[in-house]
Amino acid sequence: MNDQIANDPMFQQVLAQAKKAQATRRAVLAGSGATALALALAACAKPGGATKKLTPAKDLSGSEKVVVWDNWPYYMDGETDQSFPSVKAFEKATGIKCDYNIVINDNNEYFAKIKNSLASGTDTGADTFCLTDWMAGRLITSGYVQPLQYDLLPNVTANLNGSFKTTFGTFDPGRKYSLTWKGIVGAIGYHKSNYKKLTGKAAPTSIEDLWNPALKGKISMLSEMRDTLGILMMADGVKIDSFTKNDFEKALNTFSKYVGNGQIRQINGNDYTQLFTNGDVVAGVVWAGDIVSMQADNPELDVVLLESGSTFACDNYLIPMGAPHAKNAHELINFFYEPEVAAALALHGVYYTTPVNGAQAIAAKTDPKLAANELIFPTDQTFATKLQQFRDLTPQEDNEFSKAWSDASKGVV
Amino acid sequence: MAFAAFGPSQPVVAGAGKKSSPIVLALLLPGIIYLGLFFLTPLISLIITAVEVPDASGAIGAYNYGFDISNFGYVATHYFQQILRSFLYATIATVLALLISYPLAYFIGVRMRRFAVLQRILVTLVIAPFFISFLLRTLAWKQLLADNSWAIETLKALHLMGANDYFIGTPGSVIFGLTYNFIPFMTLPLYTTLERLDLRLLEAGSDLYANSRHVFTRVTLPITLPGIISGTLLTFIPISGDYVNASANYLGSSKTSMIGNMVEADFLQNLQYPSAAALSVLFMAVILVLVWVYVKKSGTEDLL
Repeated sequence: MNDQIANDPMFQQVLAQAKKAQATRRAVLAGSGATALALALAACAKPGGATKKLTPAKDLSGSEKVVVWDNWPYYMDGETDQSFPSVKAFEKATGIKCDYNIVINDNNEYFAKIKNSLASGTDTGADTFCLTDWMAGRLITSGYVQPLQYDLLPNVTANLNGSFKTTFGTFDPGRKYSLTWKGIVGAIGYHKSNYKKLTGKAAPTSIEDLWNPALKGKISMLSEMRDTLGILMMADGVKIDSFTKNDFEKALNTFSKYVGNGQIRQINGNDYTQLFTNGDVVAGVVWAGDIVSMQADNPELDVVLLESGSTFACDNYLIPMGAPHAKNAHELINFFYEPEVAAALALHGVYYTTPVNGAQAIAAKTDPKLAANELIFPTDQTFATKLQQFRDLTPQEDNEFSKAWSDASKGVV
Repeated sequence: MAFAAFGPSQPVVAGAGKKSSPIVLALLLPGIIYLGLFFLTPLISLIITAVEVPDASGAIGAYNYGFDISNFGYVATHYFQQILRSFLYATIATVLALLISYPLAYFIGVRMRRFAVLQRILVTLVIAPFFISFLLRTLAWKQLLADNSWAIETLKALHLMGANDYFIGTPGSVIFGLTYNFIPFMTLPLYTTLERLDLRLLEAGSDLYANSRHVFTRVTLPITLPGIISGTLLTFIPISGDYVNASANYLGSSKTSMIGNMVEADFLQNLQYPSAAALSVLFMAVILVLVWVYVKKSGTEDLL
């Protein structure tokens, strides 16, 4: 009986959600606690704008064979039982013990948590963590992360896909501070039979299809501004690598309009996956990798790239100034840039784009269908015609757009 | 605002309270340090943050000392709808909790007096939900009341809900969650007053030819008023500041955002600390005024 309950997928999902929520709530509390303390301290002495230039902390890699890696969920094999075979393989190959922590649920939240350590150049608790392009750019501009030592990264020099160095690295020219862990495609996900039942069509092909009145209250969007508004702007025919404030506002107005009239029911972070499995939503903006991995349990779910354009962004390794084991972190990055390792991850259910050349060819030997999926291994053609990257924002724009987006997605008018 | 309710009922012998023994001071010290560290310091830093000004660089999350009280005006107008909604939801949920809790507490506290063991079991059942995480329970409701859940499908089959209607993400689902999550905070204070209710007073009322309704409104209700007041305060205040139920990740949507959700967004996502702090301070002030007026009106100042 107990086993039955434990194996019930609904129970499993509630449990997984709750664990995640607990972590989030703890993060909120920790974040607010830390900030309260920081504010209390700041009340005594606050630097008058002049921030000192940070330098890398003393590297203890020689004596301490450990590395701490903070990352997002669904990014490692063996997550369900915490076995992490690929991490184990790294430990075996290098003799360095790796603490792999799935603690990042949101760029802003993670940043709020480690901000004070970052700014003072002290240990944030992690030797490396993976954050999305724009947040990586923010950390690099602020001088919070250390430059990479390419002599320790031979695999990167040999196998880094050129697109990930130039096209997707505009926030870090020449990839001096950051390297891609995985690429993420933002696209349209939908429930095949329910979509057909409500609209009479087989699959959505444009954003207009989501505004069909038959789908009222059945649409969800991502709370990640760059994916949702990126897709909306591209639907207006805008190139998102060079959009203007007007383009942004136009897309935001469209978004607010459909939030206001109830067409868009929910705006969520990674929790949107639950809405799809619960049947609360039928279609919406999603991260393609999630839907592909959910197809194993929910064959009714599918994901499409829009003709007008889908978004592409990367989560990037960063090594903070205060990292005590920077050299070990380099070894870690180097290991995961081996084509065999990258291919193994894709074959074991981490359905995100790899920046490692040669991984696709190796994956094709075992699973040709997977290797041919342009959502996981986008071709040059896919990149050229269907995927676009959101341009970097100036600090002022970052402030202004983030606030406008947050208000719109929380229904503040 | 006297603490008279907790003080001795007899007049204190003159001079008795003036003796300050070192033991009393030593006993008080941990409490004072605790309050100073964990209440006063954050409160002061909150107020300081609320009047900070943006850094000239315009960088996100960068603020300097200043004295910009316009932050308060900004949050009061910008988030007016969410502020109003918080108090509206809190009022509805508190009233619902009272309507559900009073009969329940009456049953356990009065009717079950003869069965002491059963009474204790029932009280335990009231607090039993606390054995499971608040977040887990709220998420479970999200699943149980999802669009293709058994409950919603049944309502649709009975035509009590339209084919395209839904529950999760609506104001109804948020108020449901708030009421459900805070009911024990209402039931327990009510139970403690009802449990001490002197039944002989009710008998006296009946002897004086009051019908049962009059006995209730003239005797039971006034005697249990302190329980009602503390129960409503214990539910109303946390409900109006709650940010879990109304969040889009739980039972709410963008149409149900409350004050707590806006503080969270400004603090963690937008890194606009001054407006988050100003909204918190404003919220505290409004709550204080509301509670003060409420207690004044209901004539139970002794509670404060």
